[in-house]
Amino acid sequence: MSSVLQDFLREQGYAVCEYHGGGEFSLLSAAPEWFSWIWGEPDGEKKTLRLGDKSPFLENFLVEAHAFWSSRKKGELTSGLWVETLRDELECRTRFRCRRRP
Amino acid sequence: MLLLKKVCMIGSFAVGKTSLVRRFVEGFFSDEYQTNIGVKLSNKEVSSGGREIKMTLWDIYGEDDFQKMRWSYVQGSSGYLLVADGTRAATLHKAEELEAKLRQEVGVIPFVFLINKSDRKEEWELNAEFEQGLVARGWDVLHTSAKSGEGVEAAFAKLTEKMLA
Repeated sequence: MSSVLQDFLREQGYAVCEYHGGGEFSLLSAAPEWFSWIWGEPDGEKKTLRLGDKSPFLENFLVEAHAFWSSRKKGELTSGLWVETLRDELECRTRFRCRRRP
Repeated sequence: MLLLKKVCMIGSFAVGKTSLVRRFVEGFFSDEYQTNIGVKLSNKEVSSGGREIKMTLWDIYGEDDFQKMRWSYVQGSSGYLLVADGTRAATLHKAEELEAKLRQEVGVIPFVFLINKSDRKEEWELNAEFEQGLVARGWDVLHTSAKSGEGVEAAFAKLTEKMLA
């Protein structure tokens, strides 16, 4: 992914991840600040994150996402809005969109 | 060992689901109304019958004519609190509809029906026969007020007891 596109996505508040199965994701672009507030930084040699472990909402959505990826449906599947309270009453509103790699 | 339980808050919009969660988890009430446009998760640890339980409360936006429930949110729940506003009869009937729909979508799981806003009982549109009818069908019905705190602890305790039974 080009650095211009990465910068644009981060500025827009998007984090783009690839799912590897088994609950593990890796970031495809530099993530916006809010992302690390919730999930921290990727660690280990594989640089993966287990996003569902810190988000029961995402864990729940992954059930639908698996069904979507296993189907022949085109387009994307969108979750509802998840509101995470961070610190000092600061709220982070997140929506997940899942697509298949082209 | 800590038992993990997913609990959903279900009901029409503005019945007081978020206020009940806030009262239970944080111990306070705010008059400031904020429409819930998503799903907000909170955790609370409780003890029941010598067991420690960590509840994850899923405060789900209220269903109305414009916004439908996404039933996948309820998958994997151990139980739920069905909430209505005693001052709005329509929310009581909506609760019946939601319970039937939920039974169809996820099967029979423990729940407690809360008729909220008991601090404003003089304005209630609740018909005594309606409530008796629900009790006759085996529903656990409690009157609560997120504002005064009446019945809130009891509601969660009752649901916990049912989930552990």
